[in-house]
Amino acid sequence: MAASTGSPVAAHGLLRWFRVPLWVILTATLALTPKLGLSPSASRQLLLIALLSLVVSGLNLSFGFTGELSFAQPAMYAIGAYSTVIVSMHFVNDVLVCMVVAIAAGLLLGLLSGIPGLRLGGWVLAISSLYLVLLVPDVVSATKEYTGGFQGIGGIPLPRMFGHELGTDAFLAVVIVATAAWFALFRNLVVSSFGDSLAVLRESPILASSLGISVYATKLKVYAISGAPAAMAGAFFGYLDGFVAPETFGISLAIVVLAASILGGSRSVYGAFAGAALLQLGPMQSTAFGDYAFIAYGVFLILAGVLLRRGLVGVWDGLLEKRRARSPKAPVHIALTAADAELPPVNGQRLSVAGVSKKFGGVAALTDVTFDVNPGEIVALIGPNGSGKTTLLNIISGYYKLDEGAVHLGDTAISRLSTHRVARAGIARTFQTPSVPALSVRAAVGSSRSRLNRASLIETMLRLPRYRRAVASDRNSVDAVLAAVGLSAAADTPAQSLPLGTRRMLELARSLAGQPGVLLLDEVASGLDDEEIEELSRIVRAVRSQGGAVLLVEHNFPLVRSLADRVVVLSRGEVVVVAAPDEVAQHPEVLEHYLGQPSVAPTSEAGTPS
Amino acid sequence: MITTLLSGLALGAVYTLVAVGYNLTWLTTRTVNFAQGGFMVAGTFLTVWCQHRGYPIALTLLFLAAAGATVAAVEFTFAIRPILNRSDHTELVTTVGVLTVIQGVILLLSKEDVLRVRFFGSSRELLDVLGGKVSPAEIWLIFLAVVISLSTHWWTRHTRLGLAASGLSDDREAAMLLGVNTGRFSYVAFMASGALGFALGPFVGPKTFAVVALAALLSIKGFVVLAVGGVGSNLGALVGGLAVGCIEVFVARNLESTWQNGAVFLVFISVMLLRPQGLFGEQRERVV
Repeated sequence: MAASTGSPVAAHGLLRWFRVPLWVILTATLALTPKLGLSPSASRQLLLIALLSLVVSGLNLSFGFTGELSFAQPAMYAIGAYSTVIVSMHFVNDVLVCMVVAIAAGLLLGLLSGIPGLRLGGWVLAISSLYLVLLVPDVVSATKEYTGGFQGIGGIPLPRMFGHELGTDAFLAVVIVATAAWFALFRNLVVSSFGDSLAVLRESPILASSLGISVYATKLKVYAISGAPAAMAGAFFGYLDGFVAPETFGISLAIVVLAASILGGSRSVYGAFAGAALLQLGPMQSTAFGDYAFIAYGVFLILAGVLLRRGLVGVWDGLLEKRRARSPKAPVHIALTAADAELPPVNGQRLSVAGVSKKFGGVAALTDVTFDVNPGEIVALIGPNGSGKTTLLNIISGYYKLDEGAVHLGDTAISRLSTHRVARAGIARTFQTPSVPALSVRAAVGSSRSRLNRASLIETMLRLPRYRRAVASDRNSVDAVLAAVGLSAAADTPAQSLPLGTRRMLELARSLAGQPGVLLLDEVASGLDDEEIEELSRIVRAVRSQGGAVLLVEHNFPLVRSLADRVVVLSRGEVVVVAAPDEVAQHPEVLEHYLGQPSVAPTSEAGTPS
Repeated sequence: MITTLLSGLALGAVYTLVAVGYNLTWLTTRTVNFAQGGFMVAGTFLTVWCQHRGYPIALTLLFLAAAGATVAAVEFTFAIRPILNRSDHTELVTTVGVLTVIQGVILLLSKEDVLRVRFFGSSRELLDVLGGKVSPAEIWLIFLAVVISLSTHWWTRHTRLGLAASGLSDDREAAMLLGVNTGRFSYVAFMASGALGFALGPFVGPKTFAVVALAALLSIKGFVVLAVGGVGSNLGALVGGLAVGCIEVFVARNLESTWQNGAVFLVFISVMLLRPQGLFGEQRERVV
């Protein structure tokens, strides 16, 4: 089951009620398999599958769900195993204690190695994580007294828990329960509003930061967490044979883990278990395979990379989508329904742009731009192409840093903040080309509420009351906004199946759901037909009457005239005039430069930086 | 002291040569070919095979270059070209796959994972240079690293062809519109990187031996050198490589050999944090 779309409430009806009992029964059955007559060698296989699936699930989390390929899993596995070696031999022999120490060590290693690696991402993360694996034998040999060095270390005591020695069967039960518990936490993490923000981040880091999601911090959190299951698996591995040597944790393990992840579907939760089982029971079993193992794994990686055209992680998603598309319930086209509800009140804030200047190289894109947008007001920003409209919007939302001047939202200076902090302060924006993640409409609209989300990751994973309350309040607000913009009927449709006009409405709804202080609309009407523009105007007016502050960048002058309270005219990066629309329409310089009334050569088409 | 320095420079030269191979394919396809270390190791094993047959050095080099160009062309056709226009770093997975296949094939054919490689030419006796001891193979490595990296550096910046090649990495589509034959360039660059990697076998082998597990290590260290020196800069590859080699050797000599990889890792991470574009890399403006 792929767990990438939608919030938990949107998930499959019947399964929802039986999920927990089903999980308990399955876990209990697997844990008790030896009692049910499973042979010792088969139960050992089961145990090895569980360990490998834990390691693979960590890779799924970082590679599948955030799109960052890391090879560090063997290093995390190693740190877990050596935690058991050291804790059980020198301090206290208890499985649970070793597990906790290992998880803490895994999280720490993930955090430390993620900080530099994720700063640059891509190749740098991949190689630095591979390097980490390379360092395992060095670190082990440098700490010989505790870890036994290259030759490995034996004499690890039999596992105990609460003072009782665990037999093989009891140890298997512990491993199975811990594995099942991790998979439940993993699933809860990715099927949640946090999981939705990961989908937004995969779609576009630019979109994510405009919604108040810190790309770096989010990836770092996920990366650190991805070390935990591998370290936990390592802790169990340490006990398994009473012997640990560094050669277990080499680059070949990294390759196996990557292959298992792709095989089971990297962007899935339970696929990690499936991939691990397939590799454990298949190639890793046969000794005849040994000579060809490297070649087989290598060829598999090449084929997987080349053939899976939707990218490595999307293969199962693609299959699921096909099935969904075949089902008669799938709506083909969603027409906007007439809005059947009032927009909830908007708590607008004053946006003030004061003396803003920006140069690109030697070219002045903006010079001393000053104006305000007040709550309950629509201000339009117009000007020919290249006059600096989008540059200004990008400065306000934090993509560019200004050279001089200041931007304030209410009393907060936002001009030195990074994009996601600007969004968190209360600036919401739409894009010229709507940016829509692979989520349901409801979840996509709700993604702007991550800035208001009060539930921590632990609360999310454990589904604690605070998380449940946040989900409920998110759902109420999102549904209210959807109703007000006429998208209620489409709430459960995949957002990416929407046509352009509806996508713009979705972006508007997304901005409003985040309860912004100021709404920036970037050419929101372009490409829409008259009916859609009418609907859009109605909503923007409703935002104004509910107290919202709106800054509208628009080419369509009749629309500006019908909507705006004041118009700021930009030309070559300077403010020509700030006035009421009717006055602007009469302004000689505007007529000449922008509306092109007297016979003057057309304005140059210098590219707008965007 | 001088002996250690020379040995560090020779080790660094190996990394530099891997990084130069990376740059060749990076400049034309924006792909870091992670199999580059595998090329070099395959070259060392094939060198042993040629020596068994008693081939002279010229024939050996020719044979290695041809084999390398073929392997790289096959790699490009099956593992790189189909994914060139993807933006999701799929080549990370496919080139790791190629590296793994190369290791597997070597293991299957040679049955040994470590072999000693004899140096061609006169003898194995050490030379005296500036009061230090150095083997002829090491001198050759340093010489080759300096000549190859500097000449390719000059070539990419000062010749029509070189500029066209580096134009590809900046903007493939624009280069195509300006009439650069991107397809052929990419092929030639991959074949050249393969030929270079394999043909270095007779020089690298005596220093490192022929070791299967070395493939991934060389690929990793080569990338570290590439990133530290600045992706796309062969001058950076030379400076970065020699520096990394010396750091390793001096740490191993003065502290302990188990810390040499750790020390390089530390340098790598520090450079990436302080100067993400590398020592000689160009700062790119953040694209929004």
